[in-house]
Amino acid sequence: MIPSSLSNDDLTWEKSRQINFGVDLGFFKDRITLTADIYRDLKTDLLLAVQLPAASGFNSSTQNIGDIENKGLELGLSTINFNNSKFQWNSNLTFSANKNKVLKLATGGARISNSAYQITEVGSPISSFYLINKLGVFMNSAELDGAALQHPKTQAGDLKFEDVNGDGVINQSDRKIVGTPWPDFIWGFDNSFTFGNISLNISLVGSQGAFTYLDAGGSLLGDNGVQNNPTLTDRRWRSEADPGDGVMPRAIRSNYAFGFGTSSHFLFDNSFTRIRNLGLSYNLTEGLASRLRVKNLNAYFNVSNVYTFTDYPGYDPESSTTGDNVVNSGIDYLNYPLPRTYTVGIKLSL
Amino acid sequence: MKKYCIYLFTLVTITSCSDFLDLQPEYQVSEKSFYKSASDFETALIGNYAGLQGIHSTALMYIGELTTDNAEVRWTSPSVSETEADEVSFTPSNGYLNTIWNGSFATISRSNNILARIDGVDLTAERKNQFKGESLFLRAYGYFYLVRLFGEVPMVEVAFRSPNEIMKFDMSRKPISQIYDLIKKDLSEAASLLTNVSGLSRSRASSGAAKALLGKVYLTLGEYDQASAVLKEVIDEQKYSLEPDYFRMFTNGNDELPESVFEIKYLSGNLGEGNSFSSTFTPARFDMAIFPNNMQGNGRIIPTPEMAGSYESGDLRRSLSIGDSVLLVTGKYAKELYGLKFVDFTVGIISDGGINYTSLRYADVLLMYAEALNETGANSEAHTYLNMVRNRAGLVDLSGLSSEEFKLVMERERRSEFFLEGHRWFDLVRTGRLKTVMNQYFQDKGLSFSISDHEWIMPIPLREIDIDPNLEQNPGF
Repeated sequence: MIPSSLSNDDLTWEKSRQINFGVDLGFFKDRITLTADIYRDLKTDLLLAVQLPAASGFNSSTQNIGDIENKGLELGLSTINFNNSKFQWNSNLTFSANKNKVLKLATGGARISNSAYQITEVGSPISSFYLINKLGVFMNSAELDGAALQHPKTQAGDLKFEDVNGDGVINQSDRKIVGTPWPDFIWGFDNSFTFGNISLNISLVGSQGAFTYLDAGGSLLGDNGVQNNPTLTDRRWRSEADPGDGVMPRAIRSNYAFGFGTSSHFLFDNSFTRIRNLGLSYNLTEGLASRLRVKNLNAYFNVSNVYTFTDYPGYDPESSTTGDNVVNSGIDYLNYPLPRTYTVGIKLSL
Repeated sequence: MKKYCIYLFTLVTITSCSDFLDLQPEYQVSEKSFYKSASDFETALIGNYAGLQGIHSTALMYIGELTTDNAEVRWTSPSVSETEADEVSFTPSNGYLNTIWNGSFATISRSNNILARIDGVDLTAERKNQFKGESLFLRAYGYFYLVRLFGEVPMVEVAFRSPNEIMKFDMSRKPISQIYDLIKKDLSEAASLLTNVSGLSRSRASSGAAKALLGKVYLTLGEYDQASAVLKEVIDEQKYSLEPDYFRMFTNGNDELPESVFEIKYLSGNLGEGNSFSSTFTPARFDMAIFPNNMQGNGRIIPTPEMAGSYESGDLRRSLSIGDSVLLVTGKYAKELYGLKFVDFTVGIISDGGINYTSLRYADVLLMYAEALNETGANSEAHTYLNMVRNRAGLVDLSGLSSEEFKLVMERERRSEFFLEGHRWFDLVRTGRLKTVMNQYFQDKGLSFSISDHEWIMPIPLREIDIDPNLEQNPGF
């Protein structure tokens, strides 16, 4: 039996104060309806798992870490674009944007370390990515002159990092906030069309501006591997004459140039647009149905997770290994991707 | 086979805001209702020993072997942490160092939890002494790895009961000598508290284990008189003897052998109590037929050709420690070097090896004693103990070596005797030979790696410095 967590008699409830303004509007006999909400939510004594020094014997403990603010906007627009006996078309658009900011930390230090990749710091969103910042790849040896290097053996084809503290050396002291796992905005757009007996539904969702740390990047995109790699590897630096596009460094088995260690090299914008669902259905006309001695017959074909437009190189831009855990949100370690599902069916009413 | 299963429960304290919410979770035990009876302390101690399974199965083997001329990574896509260990180019983000730091401090804190509570409990003096002695041994065991690998480290002798207590505690790194003083004090006390305890498994601390470890501590500090005195006690007590069959200590059923001074138990059967030596030490091939289910090895810690060629001719340990070819599924054999010790050829699941790892054994006591004797001028007597270990390996007696010659012979003897037992790095650091031996090795291999002056100790894990920016990093990292 081992002690797993620490008691904390100083814990209090987290408090939340919310202000919310909303309007609901309808135009042209409600053929266009608009709902809008703006809000500000101030949480004080926020409860969060705080990492503890290993010498304490404990890994982390839940503490009231400070104050955090969320503010944002939510919009919904529903329209009936066509509505006659032959053809109907309805649309529904949703949009929401949220900004998150840590206002105060009660734990003493300037920042809390959430994980190997993330911190919580006053003035920035919670769980921001805190990494050595990749600027690109040293395309040729001339670029190395006077540049801050991570190792004396750094050469053309290795990653180029930002010397944040200006000391001429790249190391862990050069980490900075390089992105957050929180999107600038997310949206959804549903359309349904009915044409006589046939109806079609298309639903799209999207997200813009969030980042995911591809934790499996070291092995998926590693510079040392000989196994199958994602297509991104094809943009690798090969020589000064064939330097690629500055995204992937040269292939090398050692990590002294930080080619496959932790850095923003494996942090990717996960913005995406996804065709989440596509449904087509057909209702048999009443005459035909009665001849088949059924009250109603409906045939349908449905595809979910149809296609995703994204530059994210992992399996799924929405995946998060840690689920909804705020402390280390946005980390993807070989998460199983969403399956695409096809459904074909017939509904009979006798 | 007398093995006990180690049950891991978790221990937690519940705080509540009002009585109606004061429910006890059924899968956890509250600290407030625990630490009452002898069986509670027994359970807590077993949990502490269980923690050693993890660090020995992985991290300590990478640090002890892969860093040195003994072994190299031989699979296609080594991780950053593996590459760093293989090339001795550690960074503060190295996973193995983090594991050892966390694991050792977990051992220390679990010991502190027991030591902080045992005095107020109604137990017989015998039981109290035993629990205290075991906890002190384990605390010293943790600190000895920490101080050898990281140098100055935080020193904690108290049990924490709230985050606030941790925040107020002085977590700064304490001088190496202060850490060693604590280790010596703990081990001396453990040795005396455990003197009359008998009937315990060799996976538990004993007076002999505490003395053997104390001998290693003195040897590491260059306090040779004290080292030879305490090691002589272990030898004179005649509780241990060399196992005549060298390989028996590294294969199935190596429980409670007379050579074992302190062993880490593993158990196969997919219970989460196994080790990963079977895959770590064998070639990364998909076509091997050496394990059930044709399980593949992963080639993480593979003997270097230089290691394989380093044995004296006629040394029985060569063929018992290193394999030269593997049987393939095609029925043919392929030339491959791989480790044989602790490899469980009866198990077809990775990380499910059931062969115990012996952390301290009598051959080590004899060789340490010989080393200490040679350093204190008793050179001819030192030969006697060296030869005891050599004879078992089928090698002839050595005699008439000068003190300097003896040291180099001892270096090779320990390398052959303890290959794949996680000693090499610590031996080379202890004797001050790390840079010379390793840089020569890298040069002979035509590799551009080298060990710099600061690299005899490891960087403090980044996680700790992120949490506490006042924690100073070792120079050069």
